[in-house]
Amino acid sequence: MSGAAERMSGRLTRSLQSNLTAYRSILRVPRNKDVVVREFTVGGFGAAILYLDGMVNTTMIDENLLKPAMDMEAPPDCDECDRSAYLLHNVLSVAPANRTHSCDEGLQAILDGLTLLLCDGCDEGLTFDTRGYDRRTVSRPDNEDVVLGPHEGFTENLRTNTTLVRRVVRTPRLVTEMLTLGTDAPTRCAVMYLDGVADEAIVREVLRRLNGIAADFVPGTGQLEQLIEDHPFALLPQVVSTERPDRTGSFLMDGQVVLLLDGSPYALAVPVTLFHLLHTPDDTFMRWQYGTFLRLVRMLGLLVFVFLPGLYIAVVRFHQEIFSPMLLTSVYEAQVQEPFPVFLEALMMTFAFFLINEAGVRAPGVLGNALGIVSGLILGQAAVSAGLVSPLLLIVIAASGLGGFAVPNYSLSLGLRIAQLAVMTAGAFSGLYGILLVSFVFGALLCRMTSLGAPMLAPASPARPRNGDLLLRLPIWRQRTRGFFASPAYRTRVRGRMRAWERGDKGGTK
Amino acid sequence: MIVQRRKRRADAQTARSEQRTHASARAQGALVGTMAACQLFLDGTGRMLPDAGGALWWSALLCPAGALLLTLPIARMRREADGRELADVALAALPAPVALALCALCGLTLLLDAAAALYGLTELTHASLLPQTDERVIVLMALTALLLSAYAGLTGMQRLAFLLRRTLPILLLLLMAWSLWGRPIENLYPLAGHGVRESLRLGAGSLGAGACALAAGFLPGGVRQLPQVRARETCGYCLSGHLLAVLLLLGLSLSTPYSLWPLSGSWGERMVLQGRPALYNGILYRMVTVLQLTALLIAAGGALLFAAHALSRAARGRHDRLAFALAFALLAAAALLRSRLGLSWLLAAMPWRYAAALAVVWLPFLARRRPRAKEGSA
Repeated sequence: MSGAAERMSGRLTRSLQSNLTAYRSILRVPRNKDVVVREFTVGGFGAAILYLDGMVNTTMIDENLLKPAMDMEAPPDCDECDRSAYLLHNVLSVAPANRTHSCDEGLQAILDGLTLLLCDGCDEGLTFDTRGYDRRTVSRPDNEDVVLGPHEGFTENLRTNTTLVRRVVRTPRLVTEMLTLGTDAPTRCAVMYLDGVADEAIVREVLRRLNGIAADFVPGTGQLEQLIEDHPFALLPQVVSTERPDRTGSFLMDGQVVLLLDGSPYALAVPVTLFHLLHTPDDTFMRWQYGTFLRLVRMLGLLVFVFLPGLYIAVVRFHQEIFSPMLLTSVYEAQVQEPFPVFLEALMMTFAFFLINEAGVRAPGVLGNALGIVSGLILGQAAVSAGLVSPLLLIVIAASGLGGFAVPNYSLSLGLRIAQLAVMTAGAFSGLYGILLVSFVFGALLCRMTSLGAPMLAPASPARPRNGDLLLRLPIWRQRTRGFFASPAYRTRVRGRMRAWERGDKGGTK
Repeated sequence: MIVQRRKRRADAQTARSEQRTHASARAQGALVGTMAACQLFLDGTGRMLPDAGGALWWSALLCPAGALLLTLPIARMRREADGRELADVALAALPAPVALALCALCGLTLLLDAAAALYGLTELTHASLLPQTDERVIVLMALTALLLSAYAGLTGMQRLAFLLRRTLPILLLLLMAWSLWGRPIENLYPLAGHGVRESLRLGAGSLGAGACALAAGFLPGGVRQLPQVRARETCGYCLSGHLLAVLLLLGLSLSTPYSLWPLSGSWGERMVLQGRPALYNGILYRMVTVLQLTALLIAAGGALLFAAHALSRAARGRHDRLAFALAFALLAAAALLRSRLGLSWLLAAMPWRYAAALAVVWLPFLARRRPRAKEGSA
């Protein structure tokens, strides 16, 4: 089959058989058993519908397309070329319908699960949204569950997801632009933003990058993220993915642009800062004291995760004077009995931890949890009993691992794992000095990183307008501004007091 | 009504932003003075004083003419530059040979400053953190880190310095709290254990390097409009910083038990003799050392990158990467040849480092650099 025929870039013809031959050819009918081509007669002229079996609601097709069409006996009172318009306006009763003259659009509609109706003598087709494939219902978000707050998560269906977002952000400013990504197997992508609130330059840049994707297939948000990010070689992610509509809504209200992809239960928000990667939905739902406390705990966990093993190795190898005499004795006694250098021990235990973690994630369901607990306990206990690692090191690695679980963003956690290995290596070879050098390099690179042009460490460095929702979570009524990347005209979220009732009289109180 | 209110709010924000940037520029001026004073103090007490009879020390105390001489033309050029890079301004305003010579001089000065910062870093690391490691290994490790961090460019270095400046008060508070918690007050000065001369030298060096790093950090990264700072004002702040640093160092040198007043014989020897052993050599000391090393690393990295920029302009180039590679190679070669040549050449040229203050005042011009094409499109 030629490339031209494959693309079907031409217009529909007035001959039904010619159109059907083209579609049969491109859809590999009859070899392809998924495609249904149903020919019938409407008021004395030929017509046909095409759809993919399994992707449509056949009851709707029977009741609302075939039955009324075939019940029509008299020929329509119009020209040949207006037959389809006549059917659309007078006979057929499916609400979401479109007219198209393009073969390519008709093909795309079929692949999207719509039904294409062609009439003889008419050079246009009608597409009806009769989609009825099985889909997952809206359920709890698996990876972003919260104690307080809503329990709805995105599904794999794009329309369901946009609807979920619209239910959260009920404002006429919310715009949803639809694009298709992928040259060979297009996937629908929704670009959502608040018109006016999101910076126009950022919206333009997002659209420019999306339109500039030349990949053949973009199956999920993970691939999309890699195709639009600023620094593809950086360790840290530059977009935030969430499976929660409420969090997506807060991103939109902050002036960010949200991307949803058909077949993916995640939304991507851009641009972001490092602080977005460290926040969780719980922070906002809780009172500010609890949110701030949990955030501080999380920060401490992150620091412990990245630096504790490296610092331990550095201190044991190079700076023993930091230990108090009692601790030094205990470390020394434990260390002299171990056959391996402390770096090798730490490396072994860290990899064992990574292995348990990965196996726990890949193992199915309950088995994964059991596997994690059992292997962790047995491996740790056995390693200490066999004299392979010191108990103190085991505590250090376990504490570090726990700190890693406190990092809310999975991509960030993976990036930090690699950074942790670098810090450990530096600590092993040159103590605190090496850790300082590695931190310096990481710090400089992090300071330089951007997400769609927005500095990743802003508003801390460089300074940008901000509200009290960075490392700490200040009271909600103090957060009067949006993100610094929002349009300057709408950067102020609320004018005056949020607790406006404090100014009013207290007549209702007794 | 709403429009007027928005306009008022926007005006107020602009005014606040201008205030901040003016304050940053003033702080930079003061820090330039501080750095100059520290440098002169270093030269005076650390190296030349025993032989030169304290001439430079007294000049540092009484005659900060060098700082004035340096900052007057800089402030003037800065005012006239209107945000353009100094090198470009020089090329536009001066005859080509003079401008190129100025750029080359700036580049070489900054390269020397980077070398001096690296030297300080190596010495401090060798004396405190890695006494068993060869100094060549230490300096090569630092150079490798600088090479890797150069990918972040001046923007990354500047933002890192800015971040350090923001977190410094918290770090200092934590350190003080840690130190005071069950420890003698002397622990606030952990360098005292090295002897008076050494501690003053290291203290002054750290202060100088820290001033450089902090001055870089005082430039708000988000500033889009540079403040129009008057030359007289900048000089005033520079002078104030200079005098403050001199008084601080003088106060330290006169305080008991490090009394230096009754001079007799060689001052340097006397100071060494009056030193006392370290009281506490624990984590606090290490933390302070790491902080000093961070400041030195930022100073070295910033100076190296600025040097590359100036050298690139001196060679009529528009791209800094080649110049950076050249500067880096020079520095690496110097570090490798150190064992053969010694550091005497660097020490002899240390007063030249005085011109490194130029880098600090030069920073705003570089902050206004036009983003590269790919960033501009972002």
